[in-house]
Amino acid sequence: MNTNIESNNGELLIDEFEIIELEDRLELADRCNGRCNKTSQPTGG
Amino acid sequence: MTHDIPHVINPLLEVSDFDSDAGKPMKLCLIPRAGGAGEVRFALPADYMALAREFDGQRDTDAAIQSFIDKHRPERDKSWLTRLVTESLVPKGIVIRADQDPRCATSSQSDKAFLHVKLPIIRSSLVEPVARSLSFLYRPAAMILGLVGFVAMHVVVYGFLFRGQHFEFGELGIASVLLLMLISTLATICHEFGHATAAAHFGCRNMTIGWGVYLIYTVLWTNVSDAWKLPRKHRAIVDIGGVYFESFALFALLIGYLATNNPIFLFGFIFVDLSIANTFNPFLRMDGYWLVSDLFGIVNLRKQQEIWWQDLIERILHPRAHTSRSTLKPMAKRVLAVYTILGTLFIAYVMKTMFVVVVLSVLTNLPQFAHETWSKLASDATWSNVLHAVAETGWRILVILGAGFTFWNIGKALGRMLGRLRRVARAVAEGA
Repeated sequence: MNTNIESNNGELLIDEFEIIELEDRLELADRCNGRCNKTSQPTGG
Repeated sequence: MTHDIPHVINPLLEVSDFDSDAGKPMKLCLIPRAGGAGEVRFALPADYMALAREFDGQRDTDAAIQSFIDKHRPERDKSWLTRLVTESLVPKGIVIRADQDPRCATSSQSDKAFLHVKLPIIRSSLVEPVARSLSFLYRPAAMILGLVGFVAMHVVVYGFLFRGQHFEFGELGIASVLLLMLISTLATICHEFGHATAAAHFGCRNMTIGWGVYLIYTVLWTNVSDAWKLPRKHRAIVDIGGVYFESFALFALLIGYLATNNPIFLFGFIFVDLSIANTFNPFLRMDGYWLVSDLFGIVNLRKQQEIWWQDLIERILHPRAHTSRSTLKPMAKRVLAVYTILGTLFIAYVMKTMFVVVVLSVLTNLPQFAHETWSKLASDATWSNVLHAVAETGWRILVILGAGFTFWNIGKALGRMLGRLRRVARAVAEGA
């Protein structure tokens, strides 16, 4: 049964033989979009 | 695969140990991609490599598999091993025809990975020399000093400098907003070099830095795929390396404020801190995601979530004959369960928020915004007002497009996932 199911798991990058295609490791960091003056309004003190 | 044609283990295969929380020892295989652009990485049970090595370019497939069986007495029978070779090792390029170009791996991932837009901006030939020259910052003494400095800076800023101050972000002028965007971008570049430098410190290569769009965020990214070959502890240091280097930008902002007393530097400090907090969100594919994946050894964390759902469906529909398709150890399975449940709630929350912000707020207010902006420009078309209108229009367009893309992509992914889950349910019903 697993064969039938797992052979459809191509998008999961893991095949029925437990071989895993590793995800590309992109380390992201977001930056201010120009909307940074409105995203939050912290006040000090 | 025709069984008569001799096959050979790919001569360009680079094999190393793979550190994960899988239930059995794993190896990491790196194969050059077809066409020569980059590599594809596979993690596979270590005993498959012994099978692959039986392909010497002389024996046919039957003989190679029989030789493996004779030497290793595997649990699996010959027909299963033949399928393993023909349906997985050969298509992936781990075993190839003796006369085949070994640069043959094809990836099932999109070139853009999980980004809407992905543009390399700093090549690895530029990133690596810089990263290597800074790698001394990952010596233990330097990192401890950095941690102490990070804590001390925050005590000074939030405990002393921030007290008694009153900041209204809405009162910032266009010049201040542009300056904050510049500060944010410079801090993010520091962040990316932090990842690249940590990877270089541990001997990784081919780190590229680029720009992209992820969900509704414009992001910078560093490709540190080579870090897969590292032990999990080192991969985790690569994950937090971005924040470590971003703290140098925080330090520069603090010095800037102390030297000039200009509050824009304190604004900058807060923005960078907000972005640091955001980057640890484990449900977005940012540093927190990779940190959870590496600390708990759950490879392809996002993909494993679906396997968790498949297991759950099978367990509900067929509790007695259920065999888990996940190969993770019990602890990692528990972490995955918590992550999946919280992640699903998070996605639901994000979609609801996006609907409220985009549909109920931005879209419904668009006619009024367009009217007010046009009236303002018609009566007072100064550069400042034009730039402000462009910025205000720009973020609205970005939010609408980003939300549209996100709804579309999440909808598509959900549709595909439900299709696969339905097939699981059907297979379970047929097997019952």
